[in-house]
Amino acid sequence: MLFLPAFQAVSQELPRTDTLPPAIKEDVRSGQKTLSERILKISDISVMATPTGEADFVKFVQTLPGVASGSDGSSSYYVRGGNMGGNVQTLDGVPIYGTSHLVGLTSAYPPEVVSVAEFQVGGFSSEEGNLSSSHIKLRSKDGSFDTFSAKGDVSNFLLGGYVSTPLIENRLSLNAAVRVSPAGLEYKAIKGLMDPEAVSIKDADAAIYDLYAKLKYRVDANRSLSLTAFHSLDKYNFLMDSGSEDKMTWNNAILIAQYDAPWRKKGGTLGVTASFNHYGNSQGMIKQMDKTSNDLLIRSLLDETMLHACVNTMAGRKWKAQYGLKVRAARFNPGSARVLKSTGLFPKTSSPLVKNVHWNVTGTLHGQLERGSTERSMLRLAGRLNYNNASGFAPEASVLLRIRFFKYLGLEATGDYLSQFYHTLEGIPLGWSLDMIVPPSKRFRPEQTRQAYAGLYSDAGNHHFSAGAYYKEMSNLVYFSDATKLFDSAIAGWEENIEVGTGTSRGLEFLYEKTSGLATWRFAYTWSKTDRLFPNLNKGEIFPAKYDREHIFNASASARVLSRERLNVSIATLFTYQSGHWETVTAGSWWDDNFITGLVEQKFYTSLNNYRMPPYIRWDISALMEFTGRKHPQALNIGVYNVLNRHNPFALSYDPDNDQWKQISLLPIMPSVKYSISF
Amino acid sequence: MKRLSLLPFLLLCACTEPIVMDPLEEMPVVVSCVLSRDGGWYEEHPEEVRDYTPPAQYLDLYYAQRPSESVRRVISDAAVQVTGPGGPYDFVWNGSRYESAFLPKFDREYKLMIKTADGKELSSSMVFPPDVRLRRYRLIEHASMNNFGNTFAGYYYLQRHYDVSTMGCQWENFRKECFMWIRALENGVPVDKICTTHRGVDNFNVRRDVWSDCAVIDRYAEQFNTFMEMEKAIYVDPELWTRFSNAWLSSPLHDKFLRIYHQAEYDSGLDKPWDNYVANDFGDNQPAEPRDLFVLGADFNPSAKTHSYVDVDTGEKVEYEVPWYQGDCYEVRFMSEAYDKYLKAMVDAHAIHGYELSPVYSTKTVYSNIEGGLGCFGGEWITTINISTGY
Repeated sequence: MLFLPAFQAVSQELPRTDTLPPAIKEDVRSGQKTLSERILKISDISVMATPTGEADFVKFVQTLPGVASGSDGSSSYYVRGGNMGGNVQTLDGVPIYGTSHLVGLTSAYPPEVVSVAEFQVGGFSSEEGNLSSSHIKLRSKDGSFDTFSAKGDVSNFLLGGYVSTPLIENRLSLNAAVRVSPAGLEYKAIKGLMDPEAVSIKDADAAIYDLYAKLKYRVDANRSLSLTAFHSLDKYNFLMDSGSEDKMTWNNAILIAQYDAPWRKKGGTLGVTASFNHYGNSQGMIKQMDKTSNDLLIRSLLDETMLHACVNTMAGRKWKAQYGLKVRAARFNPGSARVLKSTGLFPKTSSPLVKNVHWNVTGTLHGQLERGSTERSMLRLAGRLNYNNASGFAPEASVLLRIRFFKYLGLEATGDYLSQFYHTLEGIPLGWSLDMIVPPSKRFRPEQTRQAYAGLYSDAGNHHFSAGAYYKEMSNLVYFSDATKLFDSAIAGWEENIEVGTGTSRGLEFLYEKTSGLATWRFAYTWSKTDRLFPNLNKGEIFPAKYDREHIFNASASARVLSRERLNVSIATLFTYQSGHWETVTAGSWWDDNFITGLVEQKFYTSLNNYRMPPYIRWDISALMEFTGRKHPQALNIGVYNVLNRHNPFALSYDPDNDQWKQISLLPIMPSVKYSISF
Repeated sequence: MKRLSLLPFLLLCACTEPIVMDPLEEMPVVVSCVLSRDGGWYEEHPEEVRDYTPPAQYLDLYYAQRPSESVRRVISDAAVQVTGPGGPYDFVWNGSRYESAFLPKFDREYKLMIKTADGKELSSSMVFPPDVRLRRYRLIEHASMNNFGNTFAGYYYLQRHYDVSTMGCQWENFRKECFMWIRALENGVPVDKICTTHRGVDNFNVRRDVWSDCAVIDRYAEQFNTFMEMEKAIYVDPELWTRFSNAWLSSPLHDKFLRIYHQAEYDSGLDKPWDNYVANDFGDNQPAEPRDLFVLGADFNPSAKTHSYVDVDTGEKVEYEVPWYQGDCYEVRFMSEAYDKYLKAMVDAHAIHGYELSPVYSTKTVYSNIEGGLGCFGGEWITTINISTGY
């Protein structure tokens, strides 16, 4: 069998004069582009079983080599030992900071608006920086310039509507989407059915939705202007039986204006992007403790304005070049607060929330040279020179080398030296999970990553094998050292309780997949070891990273089992085994009897992340039925998430009344259904 | 990790189960030993006291418990010894703990050595508190309307304890660094509100109220005029009285105890000569320098003291009032530095911080001065000051 990939370097588009009839369009084939880059399309993810029934690129990414999942069902992922904050997801080059809906069960953006996604873990291209682990590059679809289409769908927790239509034929198009979660209404509907003894919630309310719209205007055959708006909101409010109140909210508001035009006569393109990006999150808790009302709050606000001009062109006959200038101006306002109203004995000082604004400007000159192709040999050299007003100059470089020795064997190596300016604080107290994004400073330098990867690959028709190893060093990692002080600190005190440290990670990655035909399958295995070292924590000794999952095995398969004129049926399955993550737990306790406290139990701790949770094991199955050849094509995706009903840990909870830790498993065996209809 | 409670619908599907998270580390050995002596006439020269019996000293030794364990594993076969002046002193297992008998000497170093049967070695050292005690200089009584004094403040100063072997008593102001934990006891029970002007007091257990909030303070001016002591104060030094009332009456109250770090060069900020005042204790004239003085006060039961009993003959409940001067005292514990640190850490760890998961959030182990283990090897000297105006 001949292997004829039609991969296209999506990060470097050359302008083409469209001489083809509108009905024939070029397409991008999904699959492994290089060992460090993968193309994803919605067809790859639409048949997967997910907790919400919604297709999700991140859920697919979590099954790839080198990627460890966070807690059960969440959208968090940890690539080659990095932190979650080291991953970036961009939509047409603009970062999405709040990437999830529904407490992490699905992504914040509808996958239907994405034409192609590219997942990079090494040998990064030059146009995007401010990352240290991975990049999910999302390219949005344009609305149709000649045909109206619409779609509606309903799944476990989301209702969605999509429209793609010309507004001015062949000139102006609109692509829009809206999704709303009826979770709040669902709760109210079933509230009466719930056993009040089993559920400690007295009342609850939720608002979850996202809105998307993209206008594309064709100035002429080669120039276009687009305007994109995206807004997502998650807001939850809970009143507990104990009288305490929990609230959590996060939201994105993104505006993107893009202009694409040809660049000179060499067939190059110029893309200019201006964007405004707002991300806010806050998590609060009002608790009654010993005659004191404690109003606790963590908040993170980020407003970022960006201007980016990027040229893709040829440099000589064989080299492709990319260069550009990007300027980001960001306004940060992170903080925590604790407001007390007490009639009790201990009049603790309140620490209210105040403005804590930091301005941060980063200018980046970037450039890249690339030669060859993925199916033969390829060399990419990329670099960025950054200047940040708080931390000064920070250069970056990436290299990707791919050599095919023989027809069926090749070698790939990547090397990266990366700087990430925005820090995401770890170590925030258990149960407080929203990320606090903070800016760099002279004290908290940009995180730096140095990583290298080398691997062998083989393509035999539709079968692809690869085996490689990586080594990664991280420095200027930040960690919130004393969670108990988070709320007692003055507003500026978040800086006083931050420790800076380093991390290392090394691993082996194996992948075998069959990528086309009626049946496809994929087996991915990763062995890795990831550590952290903070001189002022853990007695200055190395400790494992929280999501240091030593063994990760994913096996997935899908098959078209029925293909008729009016009905196609596909089935899919995924099995995953991952070593448990690490938690910091009491090593033990002793009893002390003194004249002040009386007899008390005193706990002690030996080290950070000293307990490995049980392994994470899950098996999903799903079936997608596509009813085609009708006036209104329909699709029905039925799945079972966690067929084994294994109680994988979603969160840990401490019961102070019984002095007992409890594991909360949010997703036992979970059926999912999604129905969609197109117009 | 997102909180479970944020998606109520999924609560239907979610489950919560206890999890025992036993780390794999070997459990350390815990040592609890506080060498102790209390106030008494025999402190320095016990041999002069007939039938003197040195006080017992105790030591607890056991393994820390894993989360899954419910029974404490006591170590009963270890070799335990304390070395120091007059030692070494061997501790012997008495069936429940280790015991020895000796009187710790002031300001002297003691070392603890433990060797368990399985070869573990633990050690520690501490310096026993210095030979100072707190003496009352002047007692100010704040009486209730019914003339039963319930709330007292008084000027106190640190003094070296007296030497009984000397004829009469020699008073000597003695400036030494020390750590004091002070409680006000009413019939052995700590009272809730205690206050001081000492500049070394730790404010970590300050209450919301202040001294003037005490129930019997509201008409202090009228009440105080009925007592000769305050008349003297007003007569001799009206300025002192003004300074006293303004500062003292707004002093914060502490909850149940005071922790005071007294530096050797303590200076109260008072500078008036008080030669006309005498200490009431023992009827001796002992002037104290104003810089050494600080006020200590406590609210011994703000309401009138009433007690009751059932008359066995009539079966009726009879109420009576206990004279206010009986059973009230200040208990002053002078501690070794290590024990002071340890106790402060314990109190901190078990104070209510305002949200239920503070012991969970914190991953710090309390202070320990045991090499090779956990716990504390410390010393304390317990003294008491009775409340009396001398009648």
